[in-house]
Amino acid sequence: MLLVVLAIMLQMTGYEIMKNVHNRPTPKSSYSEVKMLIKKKGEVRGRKIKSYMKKKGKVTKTLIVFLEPADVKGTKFLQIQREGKRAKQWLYLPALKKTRKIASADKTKPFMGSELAYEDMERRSPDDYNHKLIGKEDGLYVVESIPKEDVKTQYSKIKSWVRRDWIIVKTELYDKEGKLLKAIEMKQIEDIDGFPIAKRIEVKNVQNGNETTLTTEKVNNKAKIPSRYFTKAYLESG
Amino acid sequence: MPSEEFWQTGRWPNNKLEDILEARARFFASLGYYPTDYAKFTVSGKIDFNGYYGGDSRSDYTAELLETYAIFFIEDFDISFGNMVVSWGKTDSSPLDVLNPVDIREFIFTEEEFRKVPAPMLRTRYSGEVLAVDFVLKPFWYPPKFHEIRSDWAFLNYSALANNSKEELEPLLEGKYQASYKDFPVGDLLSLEAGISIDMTLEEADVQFVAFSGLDPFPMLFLYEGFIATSKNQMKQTGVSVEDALSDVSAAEIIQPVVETQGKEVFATLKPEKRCYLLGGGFSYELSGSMLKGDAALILNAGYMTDDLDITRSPSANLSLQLEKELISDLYAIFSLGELVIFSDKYLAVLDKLNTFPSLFLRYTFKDYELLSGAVFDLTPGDFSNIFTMMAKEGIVRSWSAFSGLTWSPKDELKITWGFGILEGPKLSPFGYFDENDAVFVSARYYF
Repeated sequence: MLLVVLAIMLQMTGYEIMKNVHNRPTPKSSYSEVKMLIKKKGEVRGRKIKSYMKKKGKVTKTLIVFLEPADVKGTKFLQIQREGKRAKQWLYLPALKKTRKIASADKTKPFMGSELAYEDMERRSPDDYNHKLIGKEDGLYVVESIPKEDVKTQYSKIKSWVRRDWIIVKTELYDKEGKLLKAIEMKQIEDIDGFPIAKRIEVKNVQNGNETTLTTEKVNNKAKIPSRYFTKAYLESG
Repeated sequence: MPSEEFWQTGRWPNNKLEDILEARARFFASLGYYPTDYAKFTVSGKIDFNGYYGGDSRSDYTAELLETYAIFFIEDFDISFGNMVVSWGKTDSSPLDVLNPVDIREFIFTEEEFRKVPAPMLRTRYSGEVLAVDFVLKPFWYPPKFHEIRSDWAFLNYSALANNSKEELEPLLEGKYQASYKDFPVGDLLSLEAGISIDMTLEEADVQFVAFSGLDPFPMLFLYEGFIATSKNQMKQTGVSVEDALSDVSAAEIIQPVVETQGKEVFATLKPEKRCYLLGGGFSYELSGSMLKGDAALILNAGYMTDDLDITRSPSANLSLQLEKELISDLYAIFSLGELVIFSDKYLAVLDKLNTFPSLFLRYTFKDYELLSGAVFDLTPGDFSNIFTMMAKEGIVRSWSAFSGLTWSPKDELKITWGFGILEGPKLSPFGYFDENDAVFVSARYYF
């Protein structure tokens, strides 16, 4: 009887697991070069981007610069997210020399034609969801997360497969009708500068058959990145 | 990034003097050099090979150096100098976007990325997390690019001289006569222009405040005195409108030489005459999943042409409101409302005291295609001092313009666009002035 009680006490809740995922140590700043392959109806298109990230207190800032293909070269995306709040996002279009603020509704839209939505690039706060541990598979926790009523998202449910070191290795995202929409898998997880990084991320849209693969070609988790990189002014001048 | 562009336009041949086909091959290149993390050099330029077929068949080529500037970063500050484009304002057609002159040599067919003319500037900027301060100094006034004559989009175009024969206009076509930037104060400190912008990123909105002092953004047209006297006399005697008076004036009266300069005889003078002052602000705010943006500018001492061909100075307010919303998946709507209020007691040519320009553009993306279509209207309620007169006025749409383009991208580097543009309205209205330039076009762009 005592053993049963102890087992119940040691069983983690879905919220606790996702809280640990959220609180997992991450680099304070990082730089990476990523190649994106987008497969749509048999056609493959490539994108190459540089990504800068800096964390200060509860604020995480991300700058993405597009390098390829030529028609989007110089396009820049800036995101500033304060913990617990919706991220603010801007897109700079070099041909127009204008920075556009992106609305929240736009965050459900594909990021540069890929199967990743803008909202997939935000860190989800565990307090925005109701989490439930629904099982274990191959040593992984399987957590089901339902967004709370006031959360703006295109997903009705998210299932996460979590390692014991709080790395999510697989995510299933369900549409508003409850049908599986996308599956995201983290592969080739390596320790880089003391942080586990997935060098390959595969995103599959189960409903339309499209796929996006992100391959990290270069990464530095101790990069010194100037604060000015994460300003609207730098989008235009940098 | 470099690109090549091949462009053809066909116009409906309802005027024997008009070009009915235009073709262009364009090569554009932009190079950026980053010797260190604290410096960047940019050079860009384009070469156009143009062919015009129709009333005045001809070909030419133009090579233009566009942006050429250096920028240096020092902590949260940066300083840049050279020929550059600087955009202020939150809306697409912002009244705060005054630093660069415009290229309207092809009016509505000018591509967005070439619509602004890079101008010499010295710029210093502080970029903080929440606050950015931008100070720009322009050593002298820089002219916009437009055709005075000898083009379907000319300031003085053939349609405005409706009753004139081709023979009378031939001297204009041959370039024997020109408009001159006479008395243009180049290098004069009095033509120094400066502006400051303060941009703040707040919790819920971005806001911006702008102040600017510079010369007339568009040069004022001072026609040959004899022409003005003739037209005024005619209007006074017969009580006809400016449009009718113009149509009765012969080309010879317009091109009567005034001053000989550089081997050509001058029939008009274009010059920025006085200094204007702008004070304004803008915002962008997310409203229920849509983006609401607005800009407003109060301009002091702006110049406008009156009904009797004089220039009058008065304050004016220029407002722009824009709402961007996704209607259904992949279908975006951009609704804009532009308002120009001119606080003048004179009757104005082309514009009214209250000018309203609503527009609606739709962008739809499907497979490898993007369709962009829209229209801009020029509404004229007339004298705004009496709201009942405004409401009752008939024919509220004075002129309008519609544009549509379908772009196909079979691969990332290649974009092929088909489309058309229409301009309608009476001769002396913002769009009606060029109403004989309705056109269809096709263009192919290759990026490398």
